[in-house]
Amino acid sequence: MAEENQLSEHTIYVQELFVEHVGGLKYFVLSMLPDPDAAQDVVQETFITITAKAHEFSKGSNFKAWAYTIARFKVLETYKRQKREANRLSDSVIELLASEADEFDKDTSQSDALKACLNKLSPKVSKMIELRYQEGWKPSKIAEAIDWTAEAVYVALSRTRTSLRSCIEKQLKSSGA
Amino acid sequence: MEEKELLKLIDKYIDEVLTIEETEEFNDLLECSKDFRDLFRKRIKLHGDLANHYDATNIPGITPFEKPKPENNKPIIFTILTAVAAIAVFAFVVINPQTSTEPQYFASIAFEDKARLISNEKLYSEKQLSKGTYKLESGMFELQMPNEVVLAIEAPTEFTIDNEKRISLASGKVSANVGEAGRGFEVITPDGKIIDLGTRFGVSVSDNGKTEAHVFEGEINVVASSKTTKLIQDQAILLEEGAQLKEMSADQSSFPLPGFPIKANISNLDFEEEKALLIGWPKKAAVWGGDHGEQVEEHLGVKPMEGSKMLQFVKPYAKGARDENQNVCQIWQVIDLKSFDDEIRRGGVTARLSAFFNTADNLTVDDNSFSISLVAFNGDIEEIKKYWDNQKEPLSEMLGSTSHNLKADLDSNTWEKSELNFQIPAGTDFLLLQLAVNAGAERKLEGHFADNIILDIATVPRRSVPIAKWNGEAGKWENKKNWKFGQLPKPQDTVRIQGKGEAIISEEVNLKQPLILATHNNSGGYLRISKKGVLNQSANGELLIGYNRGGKAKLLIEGTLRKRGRAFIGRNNAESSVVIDGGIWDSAGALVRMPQYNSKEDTQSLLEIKHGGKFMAKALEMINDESVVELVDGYIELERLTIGGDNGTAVVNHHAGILRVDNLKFGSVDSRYYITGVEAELWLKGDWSIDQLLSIENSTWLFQGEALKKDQLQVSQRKLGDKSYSVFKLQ
Repeated sequence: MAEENQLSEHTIYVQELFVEHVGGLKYFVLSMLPDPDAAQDVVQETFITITAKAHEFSKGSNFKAWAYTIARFKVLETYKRQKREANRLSDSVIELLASEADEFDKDTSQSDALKACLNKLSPKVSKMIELRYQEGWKPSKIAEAIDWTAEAVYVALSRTRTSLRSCIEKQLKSSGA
Repeated sequence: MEEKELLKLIDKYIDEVLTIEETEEFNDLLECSKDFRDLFRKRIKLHGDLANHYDATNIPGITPFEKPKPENNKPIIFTILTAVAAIAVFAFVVINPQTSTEPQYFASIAFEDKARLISNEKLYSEKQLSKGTYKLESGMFELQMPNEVVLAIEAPTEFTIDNEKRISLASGKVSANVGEAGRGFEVITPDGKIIDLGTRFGVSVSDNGKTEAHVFEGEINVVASSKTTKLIQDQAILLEEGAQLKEMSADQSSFPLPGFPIKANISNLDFEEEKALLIGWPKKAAVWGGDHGEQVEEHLGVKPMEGSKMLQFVKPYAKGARDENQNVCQIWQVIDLKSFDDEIRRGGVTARLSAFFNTADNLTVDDNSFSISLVAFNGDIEEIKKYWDNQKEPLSEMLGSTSHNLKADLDSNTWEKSELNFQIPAGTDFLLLQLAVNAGAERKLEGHFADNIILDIATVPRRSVPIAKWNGEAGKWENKKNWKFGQLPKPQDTVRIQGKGEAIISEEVNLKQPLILATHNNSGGYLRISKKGVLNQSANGELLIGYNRGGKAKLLIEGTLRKRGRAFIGRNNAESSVVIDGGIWDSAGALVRMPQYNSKEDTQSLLEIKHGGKFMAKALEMINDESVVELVDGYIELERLTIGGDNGTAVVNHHAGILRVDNLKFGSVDSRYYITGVEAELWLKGDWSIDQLLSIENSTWLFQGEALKKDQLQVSQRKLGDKSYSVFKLQ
């Protein structure tokens, strides 16, 4: 009945489940691959895989566990491909994080609060964050560009994140109250 | 560490600058502390939100993702590509809180062996498992699921119970026994899906995510990358990246196994068959015999418990009952378990026997006693006859027994149940099932009945077996490069020699577990014990030369093989040979069997002794098809030699050298002994004449293709220690 480029209702159902869970899944993948581009690749590959294997998923069974398992294997493949030894999570930590998957779902998007807080940063710090996230530069490259030591950039990034965090929490509290 | 320091470590991870040492510290902290993980997750979220903020502002024109909705029964076109583009901004999607449901149990733990099960980070101690993800950290267990699905899972394994018909395996090993009702049961792995078609099978997912599926019995479908592959018994498959399929042979020993029933040949347990019970020693397996019993319909007011017939105990065996003072009637059936030696050797087979008894109304004296028994024997079926002839004599071949007594009430309307459990000892070849009644002083046996006998024999669940595998190239045993994973076999490993290349032992090697040559269907398996080489194998360690269909196995002994366990030359149609070329096979006290079970083609089991080689064993049984012994020049010393069994050809070609045996037997089908040279000497314990030798039951003696004549032989008496022998040779 279905044409080749048409997806069955079941496949669409599975894709909808994916969309429902993708927020938490993205954080989960990012926790294993902190490079946002690499993480995004894995999430998209996961989507492709669950679409291709949608027929293997039956309604009512644990979608989240299934999708997280697939994503995990994609990440492990990436580790393997990169022959990554440093700056990677151990298998047991990955398992722990997967078993605590619900934790990634807890808070919903905080993008509005984040936007407000970013506007409060000093110009120099703001520039550094832009280079880090908009351009996707590594701290060593940022250090070169703004003539700091790499160590100073790590410290500054860490400090900025901490202050953003507390700013966001304040914002959410005040808007919630 | 202060929180600031901890955050700095997390940020270094996020900025991807951790060194290997810092990575270790980082992972240790994550593993040990939930607080640190919470801190980490918060930081990751911020990191993700930052990335998303700049990503989204950087790429204008993408609207937040919307769920596709079917419109008015029209199938919608929704390609993967548009979906992927759409999820570029997925972080804006609001997460729906998960709805919690009542726990519904899909599995229960039926057996466990030091199992440590983790769920949601906590030790899980319930016996029932609901939908969810579990991690078996250590040990193994057996899970029972609805619809006759039984799983064995061995640590380390992480799995998810999806529903009553499906589990997902993220890593580790599971095997499944699925009954007819469970047909269609599925195991999902990262690479594909295994669908049961009524069978026993195993699935493993390795640490790097590769899936293997092995079929032990029946059939499965393997679905990977939209391709379905059917696998049958003994086949296995490896799903690799890109879902390539690599075919292999199934290997039960590398999987944990649930308990499974052993389908031994047992006959007429309900006493319904049109077949009279034999009176006297039953002589062969799977027939009722013993004292005088008969199958009767409703009799003396007693109706069969099931069907139209039952067993009536009639009287003791007519010709000189074994104990005149006893008013006992015993009905026997011998059950042949030889072809299940793999399972029995592991010591993991149990039998559960139950029977119902009843007495007629005319019996008024209440001193009957019924009993059921199981007795395990090792060796020849004739050993059981000794037990029949005189039950009081202790027999070395009797490995164990158990029985249960029951006093039936005098109500002919009710049947009383007797039952027992028996752990079948390792090494058991035959099981004797005995039903008996002792009618007591009244001496009236008539009116005692039995019916509805049930004997279930099953294995207990077990773990996978540690294995060392030869990599298939010719070379020295002692060189670890010749072994899979570059590791020499440890004494407690089961060792498998496979492939085209010969393994050569040139030092002293000690093994405690089985050594198997030609483990897979159609595989080779070649081992040489060179002149300086010694192989010692302890009592648990069996030697299996040729194991599976179409295999070709050869053991060449120039040095010394010393073993205390049994050896099997050829089985399941593996073409197998042992050549003792000037070397020694010392198997004193243990059995060597040449068993071509289920022989279909002309596959041969050969034992050849030349250049003064020596073969010593407690017994050599050439019990199945196409077994050949070539004594070219050397020595064979045995307590018992059985040439031939109930099917197929067994031949001894005695060219030269000495064959010395205490007890010589021939099988009922085509069993031949050729004496071909003047230097051949047959030593037979005791005082034998040529006539007696030539008329041993079922024997065929030949010389140059014709029947050996009396006057072609000569006999003399020799003493060896305290034994005396009759020595036969050509004139």
